[in-house]
Amino acid sequence: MKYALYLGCTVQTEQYGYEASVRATMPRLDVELVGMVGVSCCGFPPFSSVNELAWLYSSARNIAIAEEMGLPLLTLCNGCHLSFTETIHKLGNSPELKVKVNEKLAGEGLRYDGKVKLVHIFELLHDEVGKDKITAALTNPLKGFRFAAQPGCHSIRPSRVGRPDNPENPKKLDELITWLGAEAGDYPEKNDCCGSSLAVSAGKVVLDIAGEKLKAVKRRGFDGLVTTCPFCFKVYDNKQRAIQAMGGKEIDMPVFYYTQLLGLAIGLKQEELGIDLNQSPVDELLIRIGGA
Amino acid sequence: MTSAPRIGVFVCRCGINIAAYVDVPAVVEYAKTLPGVTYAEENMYTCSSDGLNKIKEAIKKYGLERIVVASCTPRTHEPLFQATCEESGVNKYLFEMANIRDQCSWVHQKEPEKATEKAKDLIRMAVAKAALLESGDEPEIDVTPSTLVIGGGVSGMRAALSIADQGFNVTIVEKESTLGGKLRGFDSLFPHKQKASEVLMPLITRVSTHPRIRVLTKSTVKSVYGFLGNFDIGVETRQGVEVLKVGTIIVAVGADILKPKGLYLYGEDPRVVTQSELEQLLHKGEVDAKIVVMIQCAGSRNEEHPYCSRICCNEAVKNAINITEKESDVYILYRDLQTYGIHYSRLEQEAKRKGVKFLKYQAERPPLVTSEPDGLKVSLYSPTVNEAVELRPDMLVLSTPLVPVADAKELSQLLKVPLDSNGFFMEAHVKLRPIDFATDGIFICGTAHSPKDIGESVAQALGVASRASIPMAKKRVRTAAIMSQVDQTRCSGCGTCLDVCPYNALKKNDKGLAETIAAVCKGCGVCGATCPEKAITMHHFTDAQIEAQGLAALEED
Amino acid sequence: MKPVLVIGGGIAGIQASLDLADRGTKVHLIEKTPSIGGVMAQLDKTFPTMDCSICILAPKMIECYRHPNITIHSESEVVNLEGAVGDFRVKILEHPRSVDAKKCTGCGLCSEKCPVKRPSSFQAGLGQRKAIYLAFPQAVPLIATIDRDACLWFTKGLCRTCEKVCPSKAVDYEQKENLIELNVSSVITATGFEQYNPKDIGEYGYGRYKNVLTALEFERLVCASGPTGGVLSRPSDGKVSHNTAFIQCVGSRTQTVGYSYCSAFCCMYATKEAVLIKEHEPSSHVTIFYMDLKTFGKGFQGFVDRAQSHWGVQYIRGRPGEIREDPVTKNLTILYENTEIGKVERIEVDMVILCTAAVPHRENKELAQVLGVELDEYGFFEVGDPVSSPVETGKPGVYVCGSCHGPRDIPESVAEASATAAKASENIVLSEVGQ
Repeated sequence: MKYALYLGCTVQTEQYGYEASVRATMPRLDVELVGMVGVSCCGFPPFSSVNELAWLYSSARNIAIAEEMGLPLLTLCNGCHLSFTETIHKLGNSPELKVKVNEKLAGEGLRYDGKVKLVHIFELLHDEVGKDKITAALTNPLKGFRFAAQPGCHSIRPSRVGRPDNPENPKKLDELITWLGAEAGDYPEKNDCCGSSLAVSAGKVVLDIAGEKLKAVKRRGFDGLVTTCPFCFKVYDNKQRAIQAMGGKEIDMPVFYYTQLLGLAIGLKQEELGIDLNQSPVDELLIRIGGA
Repeated sequence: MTSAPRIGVFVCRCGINIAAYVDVPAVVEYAKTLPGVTYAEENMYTCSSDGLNKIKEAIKKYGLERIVVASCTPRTHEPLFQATCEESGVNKYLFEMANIRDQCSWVHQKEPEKATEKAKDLIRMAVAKAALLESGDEPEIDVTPSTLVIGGGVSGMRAALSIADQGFNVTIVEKESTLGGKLRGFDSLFPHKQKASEVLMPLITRVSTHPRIRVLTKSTVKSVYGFLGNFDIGVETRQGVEVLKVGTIIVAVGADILKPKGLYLYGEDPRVVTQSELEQLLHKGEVDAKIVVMIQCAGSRNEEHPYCSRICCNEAVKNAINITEKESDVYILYRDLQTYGIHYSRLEQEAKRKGVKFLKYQAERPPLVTSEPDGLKVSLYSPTVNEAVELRPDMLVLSTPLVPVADAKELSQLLKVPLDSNGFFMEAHVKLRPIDFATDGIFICGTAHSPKDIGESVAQALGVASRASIPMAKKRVRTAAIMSQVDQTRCSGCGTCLDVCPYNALKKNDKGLAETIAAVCKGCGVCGATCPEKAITMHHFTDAQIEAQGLAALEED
Repeated sequence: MKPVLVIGGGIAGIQASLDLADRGTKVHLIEKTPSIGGVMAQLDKTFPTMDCSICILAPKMIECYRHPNITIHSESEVVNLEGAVGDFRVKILEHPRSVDAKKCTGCGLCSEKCPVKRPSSFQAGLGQRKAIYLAFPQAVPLIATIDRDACLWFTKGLCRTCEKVCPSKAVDYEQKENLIELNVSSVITATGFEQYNPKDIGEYGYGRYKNVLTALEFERLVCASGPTGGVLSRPSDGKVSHNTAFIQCVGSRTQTVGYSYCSAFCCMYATKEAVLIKEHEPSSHVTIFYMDLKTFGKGFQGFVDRAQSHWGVQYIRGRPGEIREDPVTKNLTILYENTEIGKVERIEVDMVILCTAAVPHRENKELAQVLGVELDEYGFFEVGDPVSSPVETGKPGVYVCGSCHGPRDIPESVAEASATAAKASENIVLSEVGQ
């Protein structure tokens, strides 16, 4: 299976662990990742409230590139996936806007059709790679561990444009966790937002609400938090010390990208998966997971 | 009877309702030991067709002459068992029920042994009475196929038309000089914005020309005598007093609209009007206010009128739509928006789409209305916007409630029918007999019953047309044989019983002594309890029967 | 004189039938399920009087059964209608109950011994019934019915236990469906309503969280004839609920998932159910989350006032945004805005009742086609002119009463039922006079 890999800004410029773990694991599951040339920012959802045309143009050109490549478009970030989805939805319902955007794209020699197959990383793993393939690849099943799924808002909302999982009761990431041999579990705070969209305007609020979630996950007895979005990861992992400093209480919650756990379960080394870059306290858990 | 009557006792298990707490087999065995009991059995559900058949079979097989069923409440099941007795040739008044469910198993669930003993007591009492029961003959009365409709508004006219169309004669008595009632003052109606005249004129025309309907305008009811099928109504008409003989009566006197002087400056400032006054202004095209504020629950849902008047929110919304279409700003200040059901929800949505602004206010903090040099000022705190709001309307409209008509009390006394705590006429049963009065032959419809819109009034009007037609179609009705009887040799003619009777069921005969009007008497027993000469016997609840029950209750097992 | 057809054996259909029968008109009462009674038979108590629902309904059901002028066709449907007012030719399909109505005594032994269980629709799915069953203890007619999709004999050719144990030899597996033709003068539609299924409102967790129930499920829970005998034991662990919340307008007054109209009686039934909880467990805490409190009917405002002042039921104006379940205790946390003070708050309760909208019967579409009448955009029967002719459809001779043309309470349904009887009676007189 071949996919045009759209990294997006944040993964490329700071979340190296995510990129590393994706590039390390996908080939083991027969997923070929093809690089995209000339891509730009996805238009990240909030930009649409600043300048709609700029957002649509920015977003559509990446889709146009994938369409030119003739491959399905794979995203690693919830925000990117939502931005592309909303673009397709909007331009699909508004022929005038589509014409306008294509006029702009013509200047670059690009053309947007809107027929691309858009796939998010957990959608790819759950719906297309599938349970059997993943379980067949396991060499170090994560038995005895319990992880909390962090689907992240942008992968499940808004429902009216169609999302890759159920908006009120998302289950795919939970199932992916269980396919690694671990346990997942429903918890009331699962759909709570990480708050990252407020990072610029209300940073303290973000730390506050992210802290509440991490505390809840700890209270409910999970061994770690698992996500498929660099923004969620940034808040829960990169900012965990800051959160702790603010609250004064120990949080101590390991946070992983799903593909990092996947890598560990199929026998890859920490370094291949960029886990040495995780800032949340993962060491103890890694020792218990053992393996490579 | 020369020998003691043969009594049959049927003890119901009522599924688990009785059997789970009362030892039914033990009770049956006990019943067999009681004096006069020839036969006793238990049933799973005595009221089921199976149970009823068993009663009939036992009557036949054992020659039973009195039947006692120990089960649930006579309120719901007595007629059923009585009918079953009749079908087997046992007069229905030779039947007695012991309530060992509502009054026993249901309330003593934690003490099953005591419940069983109580069940035995109750059956012993019932058997004691049953032994003394006598047959009753139910009087049959002819029903005059003619109806009096009091009130010539929409409800009254619609009821009259349906009854007349069903072949009966109708007289409408209307106190105003023309038919039409409150609807005459309306402009356009919700939900489809019909003109009120479009609804009213066809009704008035049909009513005025119907061969079986007689209309008496500028007339009022002055006296009511009689009973179902045989009412004598004294009506004061333009020509003087006339006595109408009718079989049924329909109360359709409508309601009045509250004019709350002093509330929110009403009556003090000409810019403050009621919704109905607004209707008239709209009808004449005389509304040119740029900013209109409407206050809901003006004079209702408070201590004085502690009810919701149902139609005011919808009337306000309808009028607001009319006004807002003329480019004015309309604010509706409400407590709870009563836009219920399909049509009114649509109306609410239309109003919101057209820019009518809805602001909630809290009951504890009603709007404050003052008259400033530069106009009216309405101040309120609104949870809708979580802040204090100040409005400067050109016109303030108060949505006031419907209230009972001024002569409701007088009419209720004439007809001997009750009013509820808010002064509206009270029906026989709120849920299942909403348009009947407890008094047979009299019915209620429209806003006289409670505030409602025109469609709902018409539905009730048609409803009473059906209810009233039942006795008239049957031509003769039977009434219960449970009634008082005055011993003419003991009556002193004091007349106290006439005063206390709630149904007007006693009269003085030409000897000046009290006599029961059998057809009207409901057997309530008040006269029997009151008579200082002990001249009155209550059939089916005689002193001897009640004494027997009392003694049986006190018997030791 | 031709008889009148009444479709639907709930309280409205029953009232219309009795009115007509009492004045000498013959009535054919068609009921789709094994027993008449409708939703009212499933309620515990009725507002605002707090009468025991089945206690005031059952005598009317029995009256229908015994009335010489009423023929009840249960397990039956109207499949064809032709003709015009005064002379309708209608075909009724009587489904086989596989039990001989003339022999069955309703003793229930068959049901006791039947090995197959199914969710009971009378118990709103909270309890079970057998493949051969009596609809409920006060069912009219009290005749057993076999659910052929569940019965082992019909599905696998096994068992036949009911036949062996029936003391009246009433089981008849060979029973066939029966098509009868009637000639009637008028048709009264009284098919009632269904409850909205709130599973599509994902944020409330119905179907996922065990202790989130619909109002009808609650009626069965609190009713003495329900699956718990009236004990308020919540589904997840059987513990008696001491802290309950009601959420109004579930599936109604919404522009997203559900219907946009107000369902008229939910505020009142919630108040009633809240009072029932207080009657059962006086120390309970009960909260009702509402948008606008609909107290427009006779006695409604007084009922709500008493619920608050006497019973201590709490009313909070705010439509909850989400319900969350504690995975261990299965308690529920409700996130809401208290709009009267403008604060976002949360409350933890042990049970939530969703007061769902009354929605059109899924079978209205087909029935409307058969009868040749219109439905509105929601699927309720459409009345021609709600002001002047509130119970008449666009087709002369076909009338509607009760919730089949929009949600309304029992007194209104009963008055309308009598109204349709009046219309039907007018038709009879007209045809007799030969106009």
